[in-house]
Amino acid sequence: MRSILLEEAKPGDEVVEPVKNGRGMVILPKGAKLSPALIERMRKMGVRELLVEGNDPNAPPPKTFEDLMAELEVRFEGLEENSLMMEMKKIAKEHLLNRESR
Amino acid sequence: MERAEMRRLVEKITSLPTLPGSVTRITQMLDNPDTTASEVGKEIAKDQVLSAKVLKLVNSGFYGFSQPISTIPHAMVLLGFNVVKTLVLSTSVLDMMAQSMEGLWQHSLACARTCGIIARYVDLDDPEEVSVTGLLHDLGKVVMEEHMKDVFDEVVQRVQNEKMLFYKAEEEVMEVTHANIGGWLLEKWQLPSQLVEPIMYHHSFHPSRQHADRTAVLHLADILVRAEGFGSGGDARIPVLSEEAMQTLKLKKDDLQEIMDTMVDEMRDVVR
Repeated sequence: MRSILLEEAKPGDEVVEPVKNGRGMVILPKGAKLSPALIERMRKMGVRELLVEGNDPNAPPPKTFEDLMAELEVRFEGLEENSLMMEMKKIAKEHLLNRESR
Repeated sequence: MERAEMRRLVEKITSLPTLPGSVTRITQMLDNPDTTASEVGKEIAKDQVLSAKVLKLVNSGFYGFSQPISTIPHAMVLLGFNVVKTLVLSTSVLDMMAQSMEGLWQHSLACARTCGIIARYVDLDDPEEVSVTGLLHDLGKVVMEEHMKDVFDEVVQRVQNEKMLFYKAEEEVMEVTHANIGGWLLEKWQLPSQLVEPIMYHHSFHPSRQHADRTAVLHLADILVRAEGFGSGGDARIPVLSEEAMQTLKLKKDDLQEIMDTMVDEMRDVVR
Protein backbone atom coordinates (compact mmCIF):
# COMPACT_ATOMS: atom_id res chain seq x y z
CA MET A 1 0.00 0.00 0.00
CA ARG A 2 1.28 3.48 -0.81
CA SER A 3 0.00 7.03 -0.81
CA ILE A 4 0.09 8.78 -4.19
CA LEU A 5 -0.90 12.14 -5.59
CA LEU A 6 -3.81 12.09 -8.02
CA GLU A 7 -1.40 13.19 -10.79
CA GLU A 8 0.53 9.97 -10.27
CA ALA A 9 -2.56 7.75 -10.47
CA LYS A 10 -2.70 5.33 -13.41
CA PRO A 11 -5.65 3.40 -14.88
CA GLY A 12 -5.68 -0.04 -13.27
CA ASP A 13 -4.42 1.14 -9.86
CA GLU A 14 -6.49 -0.38 -7.05
CA VAL A 15 -7.77 1.89 -4.26
CA VAL A 16 -6.96 0.50 -0.78
CA GLU A 17 -9.07 2.91 1.24
CA PRO A 18 -12.38 4.52 0.26
CA VAL A 19 -11.87 7.91 -1.44
CA LYS A 20 -14.09 10.59 0.09
CA ASN A 21 -15.05 14.08 -0.95
CA GLY A 22 -14.68 17.14 1.26
CA ARG A 23 -17.96 16.37 3.07
CA GLY A 24 -16.86 12.85 3.93
CA MET A 25 -19.04 11.09 1.35
CA VAL A 26 -17.48 8.05 -0.28
CA ILE A 27 -16.84 8.66 -3.99
CA LEU A 28 -14.93 5.47 -4.63
CA PRO A 29 -15.20 2.31 -2.51
CA LYS A 30 -12.26 0.31 -1.24
CA GLY A 31 -10.98 -2.11 -3.88
CA ALA A 32 -12.14 -0.04 -6.89
CA LYS A 33 -9.87 -0.07 -9.96
CA LEU A 34 -9.12 3.31 -11.49
CA SER A 35 -10.09 4.18 -15.06
CA PRO A 36 -9.23 7.37 -17.00
CA ALA A 37 -12.82 8.57 -16.43
CA LEU A 38 -12.64 7.96 -12.66
CA ILE A 39 -9.32 9.80 -12.41
CA GLU A 40 -10.81 12.76 -14.28
CA ARG A 41 -13.88 12.73 -12.02
CA MET A 42 -11.75 12.77 -8.87
CA ARG A 43 -9.72 15.65 -10.28
CA LYS A 44 -12.94 17.63 -10.76
CA MET A 45 -14.00 16.84 -7.19
CA GLY A 46 -10.72 18.18 -5.83
CA VAL A 47 -9.23 14.88 -4.66
CA ARG A 48 -5.47 15.32 -4.29
CA GLU A 49 -4.24 12.04 -2.89
CA LEU A 50 -5.20 8.41 -2.56
CA LEU A 51 -3.94 5.17 -1.14
CA VAL A 52 -3.36 2.47 -3.73
CA GLU A 53 -2.24 -1.16 -3.73
CA GLY A 54 1.35 -2.19 -4.36
CA ASN A 55 4.78 -0.75 -3.86
CA ASP A 56 6.22 2.36 -5.43
CA PRO A 57 7.77 1.33 -8.77
CA ASN A 58 10.39 4.05 -8.25
CA ALA A 59 11.33 2.87 -4.77
CA PRO A 60 14.79 1.34 -4.44
CA PRO A 61 14.74 -2.49 -4.40
CA PRO A 62 14.72 -4.03 -0.92
CA LYS A 63 18.19 -4.61 0.49
CA THR A 64 19.57 -8.15 0.38
CA PHE A 65 21.14 -9.93 3.33
CA GLU A 66 24.56 -9.38 1.70
CA ASP A 67 23.89 -5.61 1.35
CA LEU A 68 22.90 -5.38 5.02
CA MET A 69 25.98 -7.31 6.18
CA ALA A 70 28.29 -5.13 4.05
CA GLU A 71 26.65 -1.97 5.40
CA LEU A 72 27.15 -3.22 8.94
CA GLU A 73 30.89 -3.67 8.33
CA VAL A 74 31.28 -0.16 6.86
CA ARG A 75 29.31 1.36 9.70
CA PHE A 76 31.58 0.05 12.43
CA GLU A 77 34.87 0.44 10.54
CA GLY A 78 37.60 1.95 12.71
CA LEU A 79 35.76 1.28 15.99
CA GLU A 80 37.43 -2.08 16.68
CA GLU A 81 39.07 -0.84 19.89
CA ASN A 82 35.77 0.28 21.44
CA SER A 83 34.31 -2.69 23.34
CA LEU A 84 30.87 -1.13 23.74
CA MET A 85 30.57 -0.48 20.01
CA MET A 86 31.87 -3.96 19.19
CA GLU A 87 29.27 -5.50 21.50
CA MET A 88 26.60 -3.52 19.66
CA LYS A 89 27.92 -4.70 16.31
CA LYS A 90 27.94 -8.31 17.49
CA ILE A 91 24.29 -8.11 18.57
CA ALA A 92 23.19 -6.39 15.35
CA LYS A 93 25.01 -9.05 13.34
CA GLU A 94 23.29 -11.85 15.26
CA HIS A 95 19.96 -10.20 14.56
CA LEU A 96 20.70 -10.09 10.83
CA LEU A 97 21.76 -13.74 10.84
CA ASN A 98 18.62 -14.75 12.75
CA ARG A 99 16.44 -12.89 10.29
CA GLU A 100 18.17 -14.53 7.34
CA SER A 101 17.75 -18.03 8.77
CA ARG A 102 14.01 -17.58 9.33
CA MET B 1 28.49 31.13 7.47
CA GLU B 2 29.00 31.86 11.14
CA ARG B 3 27.06 30.41 14.01
CA ALA B 4 25.21 33.60 14.93
CA GLU B 5 24.33 34.22 11.33
CA MET B 6 23.10 30.65 11.00
CA ARG B 7 20.93 31.04 14.07
CA ARG B 8 19.36 34.23 12.72
CA LEU B 9 18.60 32.37 9.51
CA VAL B 10 16.90 29.56 11.43
CA GLU B 11 14.87 32.02 13.48
CA LYS B 12 13.48 33.58 10.35
CA ILE B 13 11.95 30.25 9.37
CA THR B 14 8.29 30.36 10.28
CA SER B 15 6.87 27.39 8.46
CA LEU B 16 7.98 23.94 7.46
CA PRO B 17 6.67 21.73 4.73
CA THR B 18 4.52 18.85 5.84
CA LEU B 19 4.24 15.39 4.35
CA PRO B 20 1.00 15.37 2.37
CA GLY B 21 0.12 11.69 2.78
CA SER B 22 -0.39 11.86 6.51
CA VAL B 23 -2.49 15.04 6.36
CA THR B 24 -4.93 13.39 3.97
CA ARG B 25 -5.15 10.30 6.15
CA ILE B 26 -5.66 12.32 9.32
CA THR B 27 -8.38 14.52 7.85
CA GLN B 28 -10.13 11.38 6.60
CA MET B 29 -9.90 9.86 10.08
CA LEU B 30 -11.27 13.04 11.64
CA ASP B 31 -14.22 12.93 9.25
CA ASN B 32 -15.17 9.49 10.60
CA PRO B 33 -17.23 9.78 13.80
CA ASP B 34 -16.03 6.35 14.97
CA THR B 35 -12.36 7.40 15.07
CA THR B 36 -10.94 7.65 18.58
CA ALA B 37 -8.66 10.41 19.86
CA SER B 38 -5.88 7.94 20.44
CA GLU B 39 -6.00 6.70 16.81
CA VAL B 40 -5.73 10.26 15.50
CA GLY B 41 -2.98 11.08 17.96
CA LYS B 42 -0.97 8.09 16.77
CA GLU B 43 -1.42 9.04 13.13
CA ILE B 44 -0.33 12.65 13.70
CA ALA B 45 2.66 11.59 15.77
CA LYS B 46 3.91 9.47 12.84
CA ASP B 47 4.67 12.61 10.82
CA GLN B 48 7.55 14.57 12.33
CA VAL B 49 6.99 17.87 10.58
CA LEU B 50 3.25 17.80 11.13
CA SER B 51 3.51 16.91 14.81
CA ALA B 52 6.03 19.71 15.34
CA LYS B 53 3.66 22.10 13.62
CA VAL B 54 0.70 20.99 15.67
CA LEU B 55 2.73 21.29 18.90
CA LYS B 56 3.99 24.71 17.83
CA LEU B 57 0.44 25.88 17.30
CA VAL B 58 -0.93 24.52 20.57
CA ASN B 59 1.98 26.14 22.39
CA SER B 60 1.66 29.53 20.73
CA GLY B 61 -0.19 30.84 23.78
CA PHE B 62 -3.40 31.20 21.84
CA TYR B 63 -5.28 28.65 23.97
CA GLY B 64 -4.20 30.08 27.30
CA PHE B 65 -2.78 26.95 28.88
CA SER B 66 -0.20 27.81 31.49
CA GLN B 67 1.74 24.59 30.98
CA PRO B 68 3.29 23.84 27.60
CA ILE B 69 1.76 20.87 25.77
CA SER B 70 4.43 18.54 24.53
CA THR B 71 2.69 15.46 23.07
CA ILE B 72 -0.09 14.95 20.53
CA PRO B 73 -2.25 12.69 22.76
CA HIS B 74 -2.06 15.35 25.47
CA ALA B 75 -3.08 17.96 22.92
CA MET B 76 -5.97 15.75 21.81
CA VAL B 77 -7.24 15.41 25.38
CA LEU B 78 -6.91 19.12 26.18
CA LEU B 79 -7.98 20.61 22.89
CA GLY B 80 -10.43 18.13 21.40
CA PHE B 81 -11.02 16.94 17.87
CA ASN B 82 -12.04 20.16 16.22
CA VAL B 83 -9.09 22.25 17.28
CA VAL B 84 -6.65 19.55 16.26
CA LYS B 85 -8.47 19.14 12.98
CA THR B 86 -8.11 22.88 12.31
CA LEU B 87 -4.41 22.69 13.06
CA VAL B 88 -3.96 19.76 10.74
CA LEU B 89 -5.84 21.51 7.95
CA SER B 90 -3.92 24.75 8.28
CA THR B 91 -0.63 22.93 7.95
CA SER B 92 -1.73 21.36 4.69
CA VAL B 93 -2.29 24.85 3.26
CA LEU B 94 1.34 25.61 3.99
CA ASP B 95 2.35 22.32 2.51
CA MET B 96 5.38 22.85 0.30
CA MET B 97 5.77 19.29 -0.85
CA ALA B 98 9.36 18.80 0.26
CA GLN B 99 11.16 15.68 -0.70
CA SER B 100 12.64 14.43 2.49
CA MET B 101 15.98 12.61 2.62
CA GLU B 102 15.64 8.95 1.77
CA GLY B 103 15.24 6.75 4.83
CA LEU B 104 15.04 9.65 7.27
CA TRP B 105 11.41 8.93 8.03
CA GLN B 106 12.07 5.27 8.88
CA HIS B 107 15.09 6.34 10.93
CA SER B 108 13.02 8.86 12.90
CA LEU B 109 10.12 6.49 13.47
CA ALA B 110 12.47 3.75 14.69
CA CYS B 111 14.21 6.29 16.89
CA ALA B 112 10.91 7.37 18.46
CA ARG B 113 9.97 3.80 19.25
CA THR B 114 13.42 3.02 20.59
CA CYS B 115 13.32 6.08 22.85
CA GLY B 116 10.08 4.69 24.29
CA ILE B 117 11.63 1.24 24.75
CA ILE B 118 14.70 2.63 26.55
CA ALA B 119 12.67 5.11 28.65
CA ARG B 120 10.53 2.20 29.90
CA TYR B 121 13.56 -0.02 30.43
CA VAL B 122 15.23 2.53 32.69
CA ASP B 123 11.89 3.60 34.18
CA LEU B 124 11.84 7.28 33.15
CA ASP B 125 8.67 9.33 33.53
CA ASP B 126 6.48 9.95 30.52
CA PRO B 127 7.96 7.62 27.90
CA GLU B 128 5.54 9.05 25.29
CA GLU B 129 7.11 12.46 25.62
CA VAL B 130 10.58 10.95 25.35
CA SER B 131 9.43 9.23 22.15
CA VAL B 132 8.50 12.60 20.66
CA THR B 133 12.13 13.70 20.91
CA GLY B 134 13.06 10.64 18.85
CA LEU B 135 10.55 11.53 16.18
CA LEU B 136 11.77 15.12 15.94
CA HIS B 137 15.49 14.71 16.58
CA ASP B 138 16.56 15.10 12.93
CA LEU B 139 14.09 17.86 12.10
CA GLY B 140 17.13 20.11 11.52
CA LYS B 141 18.05 18.03 8.47
CA VAL B 142 14.65 18.66 6.90
CA VAL B 143 15.01 22.39 7.65
CA MET B 144 18.47 22.50 6.08
CA GLU B 145 17.33 20.70 2.96
CA GLU B 146 14.42 23.07 2.59
CA HIS B 147 15.93 26.41 3.62
CA MET B 148 19.72 26.06 3.20
CA LYS B 149 20.01 23.97 0.08
CA ASP B 150 23.58 25.08 -0.80
CA VAL B 151 24.99 24.23 2.60
CA PHE B 152 22.97 21.02 2.71
CA ASP B 153 24.30 19.86 -0.68
CA GLU B 154 27.85 20.62 0.39
CA VAL B 155 27.39 18.54 3.54
CA VAL B 156 25.91 15.64 1.58
CA GLN B 157 28.81 15.79 -0.89
CA ARG B 158 31.33 15.66 1.91
CA VAL B 159 29.52 12.80 3.66
CA GLN B 160 29.67 10.78 0.44
CA ASN B 161 33.19 11.66 -0.69
CA GLU B 162 34.87 11.27 2.65
CA LYS B 163 32.58 8.59 4.10
CA MET B 164 32.07 10.60 7.23
CA LEU B 165 29.32 11.09 9.77
CA PHE B 166 26.65 13.60 8.79
CA TYR B 167 27.07 15.76 11.90
CA LYS B 168 30.86 15.80 11.54
CA ALA B 169 30.53 17.05 7.97
CA GLU B 170 28.07 19.70 9.19
CA GLU B 171 30.55 20.88 11.79
CA GLU B 172 33.22 21.21 9.12
CA VAL B 173 31.01 23.01 6.63
CA MET B 174 28.96 25.30 8.88
CA GLU B 175 30.24 24.99 12.45
CA VAL B 176 26.80 23.95 13.71
CA THR B 177 24.80 20.74 13.23
CA HIS B 178 21.23 19.70 12.45
CA ALA B 179 20.90 19.16 16.21
CA ASN B 180 21.51 22.88 16.87
CA ILE B 181 19.24 23.90 14.03
CA GLY B 182 16.39 21.63 15.14
CA GLY B 183 16.87 22.71 18.75
CA TRP B 184 16.81 26.43 17.91
CA LEU B 185 13.65 26.01 15.95
CA LEU B 186 11.87 24.10 18.72
CA GLU B 187 13.09 26.69 21.21
CA LYS B 188 11.70 29.45 19.07
CA TRP B 189 8.39 27.59 18.98
CA GLN B 190 8.48 27.68 22.79
CA LEU B 191 8.50 23.93 23.24
CA PRO B 192 9.47 22.86 26.77
CA SER B 193 13.14 22.29 27.57
CA GLN B 194 12.66 18.57 28.20
CA LEU B 195 11.92 18.31 24.47
CA VAL B 196 14.41 20.88 23.19
CA GLU B 197 17.45 19.82 25.20
CA PRO B 198 17.66 16.15 24.13
CA ILE B 199 17.33 17.17 20.47
CA MET B 200 19.86 20.00 20.77
CA TYR B 201 22.47 17.72 22.39
CA HIS B 202 21.85 14.26 20.98
CA HIS B 203 25.31 14.37 19.38
CA SER B 204 27.05 16.09 22.30
CA PHE B 205 25.93 14.42 25.51
CA HIS B 206 27.05 15.93 28.84
CA PRO B 207 25.90 14.49 32.21
CA SER B 208 25.58 17.87 33.93
CA ARG B 209 22.72 19.18 31.81
CA GLN B 210 19.25 19.48 33.28
CA HIS B 211 17.66 16.78 31.13
CA ALA B 212 20.72 14.55 30.91
CA ASP B 213 18.63 11.38 31.39
CA ARG B 214 16.37 12.08 28.41
CA THR B 215 19.28 13.29 26.31
CA ALA B 216 21.10 10.06 27.11
CA VAL B 217 18.05 8.04 26.02
CA LEU B 218 17.88 9.87 22.68
CA HIS B 219 21.64 9.66 22.14
CA LEU B 220 21.55 5.90 22.75
CA ALA B 221 18.38 5.38 20.68
CA ASP B 222 19.83 7.17 17.65
CA ILE B 223 22.95 5.00 17.78
CA LEU B 224 21.11 1.70 18.33
CA VAL B 225 18.74 2.45 15.44
CA ARG B 226 21.76 2.97 13.19
CA ALA B 227 23.44 -0.18 14.54
CA GLU B 228 20.37 -2.19 13.53
CA GLY B 229 20.14 -0.36 10.20
CA PHE B 230 16.57 0.98 10.43
CA GLY B 231 16.17 3.66 7.74
CA SER B 232 19.01 6.11 7.22
CA GLY B 233 20.23 9.25 8.94
CA GLY B 234 21.97 10.30 5.71
CA ASP B 235 25.37 8.67 6.24
CA ALA B 236 26.89 5.19 6.28
CA ARG B 237 28.66 5.44 9.66
CA ILE B 238 27.69 5.21 13.32
CA PRO B 239 28.54 7.75 16.03
CA VAL B 240 30.43 6.48 19.08
CA LEU B 241 28.25 5.83 22.12
CA SER B 242 29.05 8.07 25.09
CA GLU B 243 30.05 6.02 28.13
CA GLU B 244 28.79 8.86 30.31
CA ALA B 245 25.36 8.52 28.71
CA MET B 246 25.36 4.83 29.63
CA GLN B 247 26.39 5.69 33.21
CA THR B 248 23.67 8.33 33.47
CA LEU B 249 21.10 5.67 32.62
CA LYS B 250 22.88 3.11 34.85
CA LEU B 251 23.20 0.79 31.88
CA LYS B 252 25.90 -1.83 31.36
CA LYS B 253 27.14 -3.57 28.27
CA ASP B 254 24.81 -6.52 29.00
CA ASP B 255 21.74 -4.28 28.88
CA LEU B 256 22.39 -3.60 25.18
CA GLN B 257 21.39 -7.16 24.33
CA GLU B 258 18.00 -6.88 25.99
CA ILE B 259 17.22 -3.44 24.56
CA MET B 260 18.27 -4.37 21.03
CA ASP B 261 16.33 -7.67 21.17
CA THR B 262 13.22 -5.70 22.16
CA MET B 263 13.76 -3.22 19.31
CA VAL B 264 14.01 -5.90 16.66
CA ASP B 265 11.04 -7.69 18.16
CA GLU B 266 8.79 -4.61 18.20
CA MET B 267 9.83 -3.09 14.88
CA ARG B 268 9.44 -5.86 12.35
CA ASP B 269 7.41 -3.47 10.19
CA VAL B 270 10.08 -0.77 9.86
CA VAL B 271 12.04 -0.76 6.60
CA ARG B 272 15.79 -1.40 6.76
